[in-house]
Amino acid sequence: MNANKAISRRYFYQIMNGMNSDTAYEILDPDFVFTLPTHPEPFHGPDGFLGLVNMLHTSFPDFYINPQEMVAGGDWVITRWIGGGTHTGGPLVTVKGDVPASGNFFEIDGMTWHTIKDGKITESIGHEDTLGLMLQLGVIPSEPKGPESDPKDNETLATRYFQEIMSEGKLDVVEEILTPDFQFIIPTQPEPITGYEAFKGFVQYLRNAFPDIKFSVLRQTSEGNKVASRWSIEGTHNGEFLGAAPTGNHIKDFGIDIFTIKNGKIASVHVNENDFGLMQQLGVIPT
Amino acid sequence: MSIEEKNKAIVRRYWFELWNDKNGDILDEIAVKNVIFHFPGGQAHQPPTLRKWFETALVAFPNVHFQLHDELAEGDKVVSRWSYVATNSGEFLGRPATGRQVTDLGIDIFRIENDKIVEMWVAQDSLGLLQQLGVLPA
Repeated sequence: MNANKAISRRYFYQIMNGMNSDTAYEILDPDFVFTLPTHPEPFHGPDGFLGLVNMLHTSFPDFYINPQEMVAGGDWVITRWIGGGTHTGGPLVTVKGDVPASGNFFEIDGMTWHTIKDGKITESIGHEDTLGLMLQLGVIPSEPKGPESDPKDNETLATRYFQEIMSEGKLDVVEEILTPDFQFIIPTQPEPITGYEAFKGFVQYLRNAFPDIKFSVLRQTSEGNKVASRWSIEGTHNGEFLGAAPTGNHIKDFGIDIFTIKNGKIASVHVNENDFGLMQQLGVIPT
Repeated sequence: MSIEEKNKAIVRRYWFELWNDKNGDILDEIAVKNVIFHFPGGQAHQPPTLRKWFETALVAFPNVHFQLHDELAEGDKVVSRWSYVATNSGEFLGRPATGRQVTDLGIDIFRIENDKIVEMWVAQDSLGLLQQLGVLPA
């Protein structure tokens, strides 16, 4: 990958999503300037920018901004991204005044133009769908929407995901119940697994490692466009997994997934599981 | 000439000849008829084709003038950072002309195939535009 693109990726994944201040001091120039046409005053330096990032995560505890495409040349990297979150935290400071938390979920697209010199980002010019943001947060009244999706329909999507895709390996169900830009976000992978082909590849990889893998949903709940599921897996380790050669061990693991549903399909899943315990069961880490 | 330079030249014709010279005749030379658009979801004005967009924009903002601040190309993509100034002297979104001068900044990504624009992604401040026109309070 182009070295500057790698730096821009770290800006989004590590600073904006991960709030990693070490990365901010490492890759942002001391004179870094962040501008967005709708913010009257630019944000300066790593500290100024971290203040903005913290504000976003305070307003939207599940805040994310994920690159979709990058174009690079010379000192420049342009990133097209999708960002979103649920407004359940503090008020959002905007050009239209402070917006109190509404519980609304938003997702918008935008672009960022980075200038990178000697491995440091010196300037970030952002453009985003501010109108879409205001409409979705309810700051500006929008046209009446269609009927709200039924939480039971959303839970059915999560159940089918575990049963048909993960436990039965039915790859044709992927297109049916996931969005084309679906993201599988898990701490053991440095970046989200994005899109149909990448995710099918991951399912095949997992099922090659544990051919008899079985997911059981232990409990499940939903609110708005989110579904949360607590699950367990069992399987036999008959193929390579995260660097661990097949052991034949029978493994058992637990985790929680949070699904975001968009227009009747799963747009993303955030996964947290007992990866430490799993690696112990695979003999990679001593017990 | 590299493919990148050739593609940049096509996009410059888009900005300067199509929009600034208002020369709709060149549209078929630089773009396919069914360019795939990706506008911000919140944008009120979602034209079905590039030609329709060009025509309706010129009704609302006949003197629109773009400035190209930065451009960059990689493979089949060209990126432009632009701004425009325009006077709203015709009907826009079903509203009568306001006579107001508006300005906006944005970034576009173009995908070029066989010397023609086939796909476009647009990032611009549609909220600011509606505020400048007085459609929404500033």
